[in-house]
Amino acid sequence: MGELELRRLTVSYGERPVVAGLDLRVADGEIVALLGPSGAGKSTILKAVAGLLPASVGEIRINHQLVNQLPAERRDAVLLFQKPLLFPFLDVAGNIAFGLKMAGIGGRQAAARIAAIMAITGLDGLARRRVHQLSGGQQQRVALARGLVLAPSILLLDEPLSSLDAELRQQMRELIGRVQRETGTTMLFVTHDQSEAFAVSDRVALLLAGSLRQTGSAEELFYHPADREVARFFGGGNFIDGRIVGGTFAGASLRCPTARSDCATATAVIRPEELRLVESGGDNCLDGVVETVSFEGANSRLQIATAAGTFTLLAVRPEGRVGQPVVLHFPPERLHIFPCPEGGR
Amino acid sequence: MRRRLLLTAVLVGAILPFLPLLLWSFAERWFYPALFPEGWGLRAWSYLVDTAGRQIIDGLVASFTLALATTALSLLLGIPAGRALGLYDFAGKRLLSLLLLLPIIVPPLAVAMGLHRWFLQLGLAETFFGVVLIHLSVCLPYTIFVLQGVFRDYNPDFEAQARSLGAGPLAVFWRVTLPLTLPGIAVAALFSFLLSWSQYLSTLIIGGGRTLTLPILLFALIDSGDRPVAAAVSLLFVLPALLALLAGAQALGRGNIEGVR
Amino acid sequence: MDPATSAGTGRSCPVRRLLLLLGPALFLILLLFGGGLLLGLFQALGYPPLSAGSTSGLGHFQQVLGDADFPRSLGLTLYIAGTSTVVAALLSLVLALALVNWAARSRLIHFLLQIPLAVPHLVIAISLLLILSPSGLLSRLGSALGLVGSPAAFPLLVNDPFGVAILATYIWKEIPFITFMLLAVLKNIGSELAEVGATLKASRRQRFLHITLPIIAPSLGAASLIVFAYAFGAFEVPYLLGQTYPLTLPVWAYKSYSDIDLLSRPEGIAISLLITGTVLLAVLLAELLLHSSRRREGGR
Repeated sequence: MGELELRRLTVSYGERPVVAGLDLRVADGEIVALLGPSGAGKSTILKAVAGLLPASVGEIRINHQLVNQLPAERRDAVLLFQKPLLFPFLDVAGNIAFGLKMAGIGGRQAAARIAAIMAITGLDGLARRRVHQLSGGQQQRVALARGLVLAPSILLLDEPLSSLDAELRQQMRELIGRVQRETGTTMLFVTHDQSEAFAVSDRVALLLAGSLRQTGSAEELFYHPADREVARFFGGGNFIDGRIVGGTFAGASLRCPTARSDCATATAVIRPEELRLVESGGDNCLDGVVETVSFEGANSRLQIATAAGTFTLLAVRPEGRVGQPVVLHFPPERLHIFPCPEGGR
Repeated sequence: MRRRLLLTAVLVGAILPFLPLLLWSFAERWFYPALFPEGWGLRAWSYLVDTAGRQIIDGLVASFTLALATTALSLLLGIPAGRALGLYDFAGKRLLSLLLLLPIIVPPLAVAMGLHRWFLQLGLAETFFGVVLIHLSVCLPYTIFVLQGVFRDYNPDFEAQARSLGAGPLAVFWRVTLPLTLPGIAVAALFSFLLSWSQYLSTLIIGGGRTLTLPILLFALIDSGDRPVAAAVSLLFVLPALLALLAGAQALGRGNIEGVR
Repeated sequence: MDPATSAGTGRSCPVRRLLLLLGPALFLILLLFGGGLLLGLFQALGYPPLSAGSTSGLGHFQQVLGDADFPRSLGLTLYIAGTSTVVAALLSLVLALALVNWAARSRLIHFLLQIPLAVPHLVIAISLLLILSPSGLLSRLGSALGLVGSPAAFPLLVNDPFGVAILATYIWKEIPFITFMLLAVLKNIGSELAEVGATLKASRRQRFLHITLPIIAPSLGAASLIVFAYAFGAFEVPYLLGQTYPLTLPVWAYKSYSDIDLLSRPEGIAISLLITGTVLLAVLLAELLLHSSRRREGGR
């Protein structure tokens, strides 16, 4: 049972607010990914929730209880750091037992809980191993087990996968997902890696420059970004300026129906992989010239200059060559129209 | 508030021992139970430079040249050794580190006494070089200890990068290795200098009363009971240490400012 | 002793180059340190070509160990080295913990702490002589406050049976040394691991007992050992500030060595070798203690 709620949370480092006016709710048993570029204030939020940094304004509630004034050791949340930070003077079992020992839980009860958690995290047989003899992945798993064994209401994870290589990261990702299903622990997971956020979490909260920009399912954020910055963060920077009149967006000779109300300065966005090259012009097409082609393996990236600006297109197969005239098709059902900016009506 | 109290305690603790030395070095008359000198003067300080005290200046020079020579040799031998111990893994390294570091812990008394007779036979006793050697037996292990730590934090990839950019071995040392390790080397040099500077018994045994360094003169002055002069020489004796500290604090201050994000 | 050395650097180096780098320093240290101890041992054993007297074998050692003064001297030396080490270690622990978050930023604190580190023992011994002797500053202060009538009425703090001035000198000198060793560890790893402890529900007191102490224990032990060994084998301070009887072992050793009677010279060497042996024994004991404590931690 664990529920976390942040209301208008502001955390400052010295005088400067790092995170301002944050509202976020993590429901019982949910994994929420807090996604954002490095320096966005993600770790600061986790430290504030854990009680390692004071919140200057706002409320932190764990299971509806206001915890702002509680020191870290009395909050029912465990923070998993980016580095494993295992105690070098204890072995694996000693590290995992640490929190139980602090709570005065020992003997058979503790041993059973430790054994169970070691089985879940795949650490069987390593109990007596010294921590500097472990691999990076094992160390991070011990850190995870050390937190989970306390059965906290909330588990806070601060980029726990970033120090691992690609394959281990994948394994650890799956492990966290499995652990979450098996234990039902509520988790707030911080990462700068969008695929990690999408793969691990139930919901994603995007943090840019210290404030929360959009919260929702992975698909929502990816295909229906709230604004230009969100779209750019997910690599979709094809913007078309135009206007909405009578349920139709029109801009740069493109048109598409929309449910949004009239707006004089509307913007539509389309993801690079939704653009198509077609043989001949028609509705929702623009003439252009290929500026650059770069082969990136799984797909090829083309920059195409048109009268309405330069657009990026991702193609599955390498196509087009520099200088080639092409016709660019914008499927209207793939265009996403941003909400009308204030004063744009 | 707690901080201020702590700072005051550290300040008083660090400074207090210099107070009686300062007072006594300027005292002309100071009988019990006067709390402060009844007569002030520069007799003690002028003793250091006048003809009768010529030996103080000689002692200063002797101590200085000894410490300088010892430090130069310590660095010459210690930098390669510190590099080997700090940078590389090899069989028997733990044993070797222990062997090289043992002289730091084991008192130099027995070593000086043991070597004395041999140095007499070799004609090294009562010579400058003989005293340098006995100081080296104390200073070199310390230098290696400090430099080992310096090189543990040193990344030799910079050297490979410089070589791939066309620098020769000598250029690599002067332009890359030395600038990168200079702060650590300076600390090692300072340690070695101060250690040699404060040697008393080993100088006495090997120098046989011929090498009159400052600490040896200071002992004689205390036995003679001339408190003002002993105090003045004591202050002279700590001067290099304090100067080095001030210079170090200055350099450290610059480093700190550069180190701030 | 140093846990950092046990972790490898992951770099290797050709043996020839290693020899070139390490050879000269190794040769000189072996020659001077190893050679010095060995030659001393030969002389103390009365090995003929080096011996001045007629005693050979363990005679000089037997003579020293059989001397009625030996237990007293050993006891006094152990008392001085042990007491100054324990007091300095405890004060350093308090100081390091009080300073840990602050010393990193405060240049003034750093500078002040370095002063005792750089000042020779001899100078501090002289200063304490001027403060603590019967006609010293403290006695004069007592007189000004009406507490002390004459120098003779002032409690004996110099050349006294308890070695107060000697202890004060060592403690003053060694506190910064131990404090810096502790700060180095605490600054690197201490605060991060303490945060981990807090999120794992350890209270302030538990964090100190179960995280901070285990982390600094090896450094505290190593620093204490170095300090103990120094105080056990140093000559200047007890010579200046100690009683005339009993003497500490190093003072006794030098007195015998420099005696007009050249026959007592091997005896002096024998005493200094006993000092060396005791220190080596302490190092060995410390290593064993460290290993057994590691095994205990590991096997729990």
